[in-house]
Amino acid sequence: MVSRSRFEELVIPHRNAAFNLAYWILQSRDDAEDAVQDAFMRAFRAFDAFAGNGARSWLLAIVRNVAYSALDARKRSRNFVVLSDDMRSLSVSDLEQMPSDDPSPEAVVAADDEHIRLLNELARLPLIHRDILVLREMEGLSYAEIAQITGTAIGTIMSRLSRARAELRKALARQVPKVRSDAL
Amino acid sequence: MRCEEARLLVSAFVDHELSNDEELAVSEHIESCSICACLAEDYRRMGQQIAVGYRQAPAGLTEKIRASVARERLAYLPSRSYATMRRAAALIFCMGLSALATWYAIRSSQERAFLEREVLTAHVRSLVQDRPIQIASSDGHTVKPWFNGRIDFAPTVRDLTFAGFPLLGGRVEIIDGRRVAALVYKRRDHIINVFMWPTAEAAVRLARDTSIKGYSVLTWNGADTTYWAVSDLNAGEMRELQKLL
Repeated sequence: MVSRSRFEELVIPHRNAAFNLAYWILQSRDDAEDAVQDAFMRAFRAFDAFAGNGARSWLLAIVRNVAYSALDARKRSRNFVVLSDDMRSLSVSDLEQMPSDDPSPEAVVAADDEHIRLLNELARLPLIHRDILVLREMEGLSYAEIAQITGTAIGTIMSRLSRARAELRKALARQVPKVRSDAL
Repeated sequence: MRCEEARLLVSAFVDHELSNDEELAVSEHIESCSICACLAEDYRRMGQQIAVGYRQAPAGLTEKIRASVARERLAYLPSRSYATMRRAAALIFCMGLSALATWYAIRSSQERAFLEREVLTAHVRSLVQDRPIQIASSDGHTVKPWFNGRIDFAPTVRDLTFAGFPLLGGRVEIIDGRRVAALVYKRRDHIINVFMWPTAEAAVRLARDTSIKGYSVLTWNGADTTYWAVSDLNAGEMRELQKLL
């Protein structure tokens, strides 16, 4: 029998990481919530076999699998495209949910504009590039951890991240050429 | 390091995932190449901005997770109740076994009581008659052949005069509807009837010593023969005879 308190202690603290990953794969808060619940249930079921270290990576691998399956199921069950609240482009109202470390109001607006554009482009990235960027930039995971979660080689993660960033940068530059010229 | 080469490594450089040599080489290249320096700077900034898009779990999610984990725990319950069912089944089985054993014991004791009555009756009847024997001989070699054709087995006949149990002879008795051999021994003035017949399966559980109406009744099983010995002799001396037979 699985120890519930140990599960509570080791796995439940990673619920934010789980939700964030599921959200960026599924791009829907409701679907992400369902996927996270499902993933935690599976994690609990498999907890006996869990070695005891790297709980976050272990959980995130499960979350990723569940979210991918949910995405497949959603695609299969819907032959038409639904523009859910999460599928629409981010707007200024979303800013309130996003903390910024920049204190200057002008800078906030400018930076937030950039955030929004960037996150919209991130949302449009192919899934294979999107989830590793989320794991790298939002969770700060090492290539080894990302490789473990995605079940791929470290070298693959390295080249995919490089391509993902190049793609994202290109998309941003295409959308607003000004950004690139400013940066240069 | 060539620029095209370095450009592919900038991403890993930003993440500090390069080997020491590569990191040094890219670092040196970036100092002299504004394009790659700009790339590294853009990647870093993009990273910071992506991090801002972190979605916190909704407030109620932890409780939902706990609920689904609790449901998952409940899913274990069937296996727990399966164990209970197994214990219950074992209990019922034991009770059944006990009932069967009781029935068996009662039935055996009834069977024994019936045989006891038969044997005792045969013994008393033999005493009522003037001669309890049909073939009088102290010689086993005379008594044993006498049974040929009278019963369907050849009983072991031993004269035990040397041990104080002289053989008087033998006769045929009807016990439980079948013909059996009865050997008559004497101890001082006591007459001992030893009834014997081929062992039936059920006879094994009947082996016991009892005392009825002042008579000692001993039952035991030989290799393939069931013995019933009846006498007014004391049980100790009866057991002596049992050992000799």
